[in-house]
Amino acid sequence: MFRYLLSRFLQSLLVLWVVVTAIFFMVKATPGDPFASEKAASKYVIEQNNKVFGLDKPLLVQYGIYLKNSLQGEMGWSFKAEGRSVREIIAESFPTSMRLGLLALAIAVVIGTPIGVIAAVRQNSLSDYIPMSLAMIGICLPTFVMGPLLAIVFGLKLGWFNVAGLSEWSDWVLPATTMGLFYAAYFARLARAGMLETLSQDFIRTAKAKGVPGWRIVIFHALRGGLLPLLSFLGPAMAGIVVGSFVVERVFQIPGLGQHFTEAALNKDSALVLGTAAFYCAILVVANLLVDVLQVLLNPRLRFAAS
Amino acid sequence: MTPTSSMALERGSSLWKDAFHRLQQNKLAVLCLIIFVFIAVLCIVGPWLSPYSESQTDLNLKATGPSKAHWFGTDQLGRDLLVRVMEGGRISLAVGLAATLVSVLIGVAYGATAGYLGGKTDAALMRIVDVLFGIPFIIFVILLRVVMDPILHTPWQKLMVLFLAIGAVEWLTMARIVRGQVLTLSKMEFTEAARSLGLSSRRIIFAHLIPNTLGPVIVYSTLTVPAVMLTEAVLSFIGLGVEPPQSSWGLLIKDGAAAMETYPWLLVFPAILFALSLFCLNFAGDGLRDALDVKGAKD
Amino acid sequence: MGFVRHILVGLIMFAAMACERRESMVTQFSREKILLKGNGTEPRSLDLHLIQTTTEHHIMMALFEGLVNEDAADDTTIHPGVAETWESLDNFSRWVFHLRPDAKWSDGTPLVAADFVKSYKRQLSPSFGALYPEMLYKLKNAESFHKGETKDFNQVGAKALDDHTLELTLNGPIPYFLSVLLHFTWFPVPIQVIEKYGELESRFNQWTRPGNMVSNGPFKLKEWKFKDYIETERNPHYWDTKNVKLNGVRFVVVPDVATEERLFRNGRLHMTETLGLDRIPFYKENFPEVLRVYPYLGVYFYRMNGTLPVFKDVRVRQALNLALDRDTLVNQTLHGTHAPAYGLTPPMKASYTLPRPLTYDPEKGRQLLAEAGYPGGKGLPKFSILVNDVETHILIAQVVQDMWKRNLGVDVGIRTESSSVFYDTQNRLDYDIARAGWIADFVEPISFLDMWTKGNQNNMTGWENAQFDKLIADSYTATDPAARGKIMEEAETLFMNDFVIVPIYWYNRQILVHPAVKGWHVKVLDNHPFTAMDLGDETLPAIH
Repeated sequence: MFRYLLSRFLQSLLVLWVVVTAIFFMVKATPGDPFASEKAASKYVIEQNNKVFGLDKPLLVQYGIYLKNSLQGEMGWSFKAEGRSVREIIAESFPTSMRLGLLALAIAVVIGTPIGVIAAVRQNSLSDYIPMSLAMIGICLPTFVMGPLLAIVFGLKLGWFNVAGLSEWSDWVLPATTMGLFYAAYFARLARAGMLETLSQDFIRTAKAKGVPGWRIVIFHALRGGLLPLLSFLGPAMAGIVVGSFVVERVFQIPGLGQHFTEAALNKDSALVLGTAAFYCAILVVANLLVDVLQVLLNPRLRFAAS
Repeated sequence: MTPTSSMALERGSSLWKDAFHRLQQNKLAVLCLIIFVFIAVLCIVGPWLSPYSESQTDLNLKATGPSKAHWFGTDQLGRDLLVRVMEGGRISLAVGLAATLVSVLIGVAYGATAGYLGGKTDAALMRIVDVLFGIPFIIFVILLRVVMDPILHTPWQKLMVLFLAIGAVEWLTMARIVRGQVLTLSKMEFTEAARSLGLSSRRIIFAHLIPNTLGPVIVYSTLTVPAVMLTEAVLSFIGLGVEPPQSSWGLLIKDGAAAMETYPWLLVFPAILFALSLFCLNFAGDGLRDALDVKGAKD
Repeated sequence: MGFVRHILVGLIMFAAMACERRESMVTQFSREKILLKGNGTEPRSLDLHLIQTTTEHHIMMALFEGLVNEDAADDTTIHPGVAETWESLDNFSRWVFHLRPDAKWSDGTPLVAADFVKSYKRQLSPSFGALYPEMLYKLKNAESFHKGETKDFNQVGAKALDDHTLELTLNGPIPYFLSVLLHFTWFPVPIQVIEKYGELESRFNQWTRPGNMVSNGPFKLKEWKFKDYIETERNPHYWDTKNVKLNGVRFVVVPDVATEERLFRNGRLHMTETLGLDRIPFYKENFPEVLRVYPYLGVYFYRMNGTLPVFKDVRVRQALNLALDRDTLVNQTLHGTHAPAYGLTPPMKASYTLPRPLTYDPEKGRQLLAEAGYPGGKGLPKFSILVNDVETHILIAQVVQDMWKRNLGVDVGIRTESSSVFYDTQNRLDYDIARAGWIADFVEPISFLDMWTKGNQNNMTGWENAQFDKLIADSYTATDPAARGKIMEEAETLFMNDFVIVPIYWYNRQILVHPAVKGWHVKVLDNHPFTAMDLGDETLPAIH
């Protein structure tokens, strides 16, 4: 196990390096100018700014400087938010996104998984169709519809919550629900599929034949294998959910990390693009590793293969 | 019964034939499939029957609610919403189904290979997936637009690039799911048996492992369709995809959501069609999954 | 069942709690006299030298004060600011300002004439890369210092004669120089504080952070939550603080227009930065008392790329102008929120007669297009309208596309690009027709005209005309307002008769203002001094 983890750790470093390198050159190849606006800056101003941010140096030199700095933990400065380092931006906005993301994840797990499991156990009955139909709402109404809808209904019409902002604890409810309902749909459907697959396997039938009560079979025998597809999905989903969502942050005016991914890319704010992408990638790698370890632990047939 | 005849029987009632038979018995799935096909046909045929065209404006009429002349109402430029929803459906359904197919083909083949071969190959293949996950989608798209710009002239070319762009990113999760499944399956007795019989890896992967992962694959594919349709809207909005006045369900819903309190019909009608077709697709998908699940059906 | 009962009780308690809702945020802030203002996107910086936009300007008006001050209601009336008195010498080309002796920074240190000089030096320094230095080019030798041709700042026309006397020498006579000084680029920055937190000309200086920042305006920085809000509080060292009624202003970062409107209705904003197009008829009809629609000195137009063969023919350019039904576009599609533009400069002052060469005449348009060799649009190379990814721009482009198709038979495409790419594409003249918007920096026609001179970075059409350039140059030395007006008229007529652009509308602004807000008046540059504003105890009607 230790060798496996060590090997995965080294692989992760390699992945990070490849990602950073690829993005570095990709961002440089995109068109656009971070200093452009409705009133065009003169070529002097642009030249001066390129010099200030070292963009006038040859590409490979810039790359070398970037790598050297990031090894020392310096991820550069944003072009759009003057005087803010990428590290500061991430450190400031990630905790908010993570809290919101984990809340959303909790909502998704609490709603999605039981619906999927029950639907699988009661396949093709009303307890399958009705909850699964409800679970579909999260997919059929994209977040940019669900968010404003919740804000209008529960914020303006009923007056239960504030429509946006994060000044009191109840302000977390609407954005987390918006995000959570979307993932709940995925969870329910993947859980149902996985459970059905497992419930039809021989060892479950053996257990049934031996007279083990139904719910015991589900909880102690079937869940382990049945949640496998969900687990595979959980890796990327978890990484995506904790770094925040552009739409949800916009709709609910949340100072999270999600908006920076989109805005930095659109503004060609290269240091911020690289920093946020590397950060996301690191989370993703860790999440996938966690999932892979869990997968092995849940399945005695598999073993850690150090490579 | 002689051994040979038994084998012939197994072959005769193949997985697919059984599945089709079982699918027919699942009333909800069949109903959903019919509705879905109906929506698709409506989108394809409807615009030809409509007296309006997608780009025909009536600036003095502006946005009006549903009426006899305009069943779904009109948008801010006085364009008939019904014909726009149908035209948009053509784009969305084409993109949704085609790009999903692309992502399924790549994802399943890739994931199964990684899961079956295991070890170093698996590690290498999955780290490539990690790398691709790490590259920001928008950067990829902006770059793709630059590279593709010289050939982006006809709507058809734009659509092809759209399939490519979306398919290229949507297969990643699919690959992870299939790999997870195959990893487990390849340690099971039947795979061991196939291997000891000397079957080639390719044969084992495609004939034995992949069919056994079809359940999650079908379910995840039906989940991919809405994701693809919404991604299309994002891409079109930043200039890679359909060009105004052409629209799609994703774009119509996006515009409708922005004005949901003032002109609710602009959101309600495209959203209903979008939701209904996804709804049907998902239940049809579940039905197909259940039908293909040989072991489960024998209970 | 106990479990279910617990949940039920919890839900009922929650609902009860929600019903007896405390007073709204706006009511509380009104009582504390803190204005809650929606302010669009996150400002690039709070450093005066690193910003460009009007929303940033509004924050600067709370934090800083220039030599002279805005009037609460009139755009051309000027009040004393840091300068108590002033005189113009040498036919408006040299100005001497007498700073008030009690002018102070918010940390209590005196504000002296040298602060202005050092601020201008920092802004013009080539190694610093300030983002809007062109505003200072009116100072003698400022341009050559900024471009690195003059090394000695003593050559630049900004001098501190003593602690309280500032002399500004200009390139030529500018009679309206005082209105130019209202722009944030002319405000001072606290040199001694900037140096405390890093190098004066470092872009990574941390002086604008709460706790570090010092300013000289009616308010000072209290809190800056990145991507959330910026809150300012009363500056007790401000010379006129006894006449400031507000205790602070909170600028809320809310880039989403629909979210901003919901915040207003929810009682969490006193004023919005804007209002979505679709909501305007609703407010006009139901709540006209909170809606403000007022002219804004700017023009929305399409550039035509004059370097393309097809747009080299003036008949094609004129035909496209003639075929656009601006009245219908503005009054129907845009709900009459803007004014149809039949010329370049919007109505601004009585002394300037506006050239209005444009009409809606599709018949003549078709005729001109046929004369150019494209009868019914046949044979015309396919071109497209380039817009950035904003819903309204895409909507307007579709109307224009439709009108050109109907009136001229021309098939036009629409290309969308994300903003930073879009501006760059336009800069490189890599477009056919491109959307543009221009807001004046001060109330003078020159603000709309000098950008069309040869080589100006905001021209971006490839159009050039030696006679036009000469007229603009002449206008710089004309001191008599009437004579200058004549020259401007001539220049604008010359430009417009070439149909280089397709003006579409003159801007109006649409915002929501809470009834409690006092002392807010309509102004065409949309700069409202917070010193004149106050908050009463009026409440907002329920908006459904």
